[in-house]
Amino acid sequence: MAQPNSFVVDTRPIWILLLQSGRQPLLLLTGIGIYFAVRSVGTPVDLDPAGHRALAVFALCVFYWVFDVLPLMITSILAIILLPLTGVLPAKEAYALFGSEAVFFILGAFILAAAMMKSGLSARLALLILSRFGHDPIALLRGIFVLNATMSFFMSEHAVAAMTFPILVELIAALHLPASRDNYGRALFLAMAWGSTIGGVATLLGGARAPLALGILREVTGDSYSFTEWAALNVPLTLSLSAAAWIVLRTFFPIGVQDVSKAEQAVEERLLKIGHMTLQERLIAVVMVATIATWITLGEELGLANIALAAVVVLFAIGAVKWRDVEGYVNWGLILMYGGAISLGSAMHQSGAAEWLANHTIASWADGPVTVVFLITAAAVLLTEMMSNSAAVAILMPLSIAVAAQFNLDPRLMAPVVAIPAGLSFILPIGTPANAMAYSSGYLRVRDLIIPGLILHAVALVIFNCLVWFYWPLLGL
Amino acid sequence: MNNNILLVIPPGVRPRAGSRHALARALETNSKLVALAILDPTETARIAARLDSAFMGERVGDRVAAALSREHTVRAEGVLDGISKCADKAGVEMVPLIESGDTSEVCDRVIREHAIGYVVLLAERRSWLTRLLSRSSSVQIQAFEGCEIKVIEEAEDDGIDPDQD
Repeated sequence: MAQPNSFVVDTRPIWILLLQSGRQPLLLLTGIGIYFAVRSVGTPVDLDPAGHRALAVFALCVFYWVFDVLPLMITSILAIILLPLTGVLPAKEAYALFGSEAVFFILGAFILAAAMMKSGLSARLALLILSRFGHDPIALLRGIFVLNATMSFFMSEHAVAAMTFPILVELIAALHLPASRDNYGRALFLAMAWGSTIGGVATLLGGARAPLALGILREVTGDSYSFTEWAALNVPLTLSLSAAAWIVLRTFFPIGVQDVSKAEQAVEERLLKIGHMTLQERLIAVVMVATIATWITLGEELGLANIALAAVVVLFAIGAVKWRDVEGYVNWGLILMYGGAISLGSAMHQSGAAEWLANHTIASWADGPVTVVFLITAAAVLLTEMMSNSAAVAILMPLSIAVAAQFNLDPRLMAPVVAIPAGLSFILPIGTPANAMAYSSGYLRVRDLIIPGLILHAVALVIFNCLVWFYWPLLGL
Repeated sequence: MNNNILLVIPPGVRPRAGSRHALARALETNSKLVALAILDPTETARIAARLDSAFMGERVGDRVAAALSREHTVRAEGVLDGISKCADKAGVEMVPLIESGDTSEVCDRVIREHAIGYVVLLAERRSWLTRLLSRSSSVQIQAFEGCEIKVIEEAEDDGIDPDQD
């Protein structure tokens, strides 16, 4: 017979319990409080009233993005509502920014990636790469890293990690690794996470943050980058960071496994199971290759978004995919998130709020262009470990463009200076879904990654800043 | 009469001290040991939600969640297998169970169904960093007449296989 009393075991510290129970309403109210606090302070003499209001909206959105108070896209919708309501931007203009080319480029790229995933083409490519690599433990580890890095050149790094994860789980099961904290298991999951993160910064297809940075740049300055220009800037970083990550992996996670023949066998079995390449996969592969070739050769003339969307139309026209196939693979909230972020960035610039905020923060802390770039990259790396990297870009881009003018820096420089470090999350599970998946495997704990992750961050900052000042000028930047 | 022993194994915890205690108790009282591994369905949902925030569609999250769920089941089977071997050696009858869902609800049901008289709960000792950054679980078990509850503290997983203990 059940008694009214019960036995409770809760291992959490009391302050976490208290915070957790009231977190959501508390944060919601704090955000509103911040908005009204900024509004209630008298308008600074060097800022327009519209800029002051834009600053209040920006502060509210930053707070909600950082603390994940509302879903990212809902915070963006809030920005879109508040900008016209507070008179910062006319409603027509605020809503028109949803039509930014960057938003549609992201959409097209995500649909193409969805087609690759749904058809099984991406998994086939992954297995083929692994079958070429995985003959011994080091080769298999290298294979996982290279597979994730190279595939993130062509599709979103998150999609790549999500595609590799089940394969990796299967391989590890086949290997019968001795315990959940086995070093080889840790290294394999880290190779997945770090590989996709590092590969994802190389091209505009690796994630949505680079197109978002370009979208804000274009709305504010009218400038942008071609597909090839962006890749030329970032491929050296990807290569050098890959080498650094490999050294860190091998140093911190020495491999004790001798034989991976069972994993190799599992890959072969999977390849046999999926059979020959289907017509659908061939068609998608041809369209994908043609699209990338067109982005590289005719990207500037035709427009990146136009090419991406044309490729999507071609896929449907030739019957390679059906709407039902791809709709579940794309989160349509991305249109709201990126449209809202671009609107907010544009409003911050037009109202003078971005310039004012940049003057009173980055510009006052920096004593020259080198420090400005270093501060922005460090801020981007720090933010991206704690929040969505797209939100980090949405926060930093308007300020960075504003501060560039004050230090005689080309505003174009700021798109990669913000977007690339904002993609480099190596430590925390909240930094990027690839990290979250690696942690969910049960092989990794946060303390396993603090030192290796910090080393990789430091190396990334040094390499990136060196490339900015010594390599990018060779490309005319 | 309720005299069986229930060992509750939360997700991701390897019960070394807990399983030793439960086996010793079962041997001492000549009762059956029910080893219950609980899978946390919210864990997979959280991963899917992380992908959601990266604007991946729900089917992408579903694939990851399915893989994770399979992996957790395999791991739970491994843990139960290890305890089962120890139980065989000690001559204790053991019933392995894997259940998915809310720990409190599952425990309440198993206590009723298996005539449990003694419950071993595990509390994992964790570093301040893990406590700060990771989710903690809470377990609430209705007290049943004649059902004793014992909490055993487990050290944070150090990578040593329990089979080798």
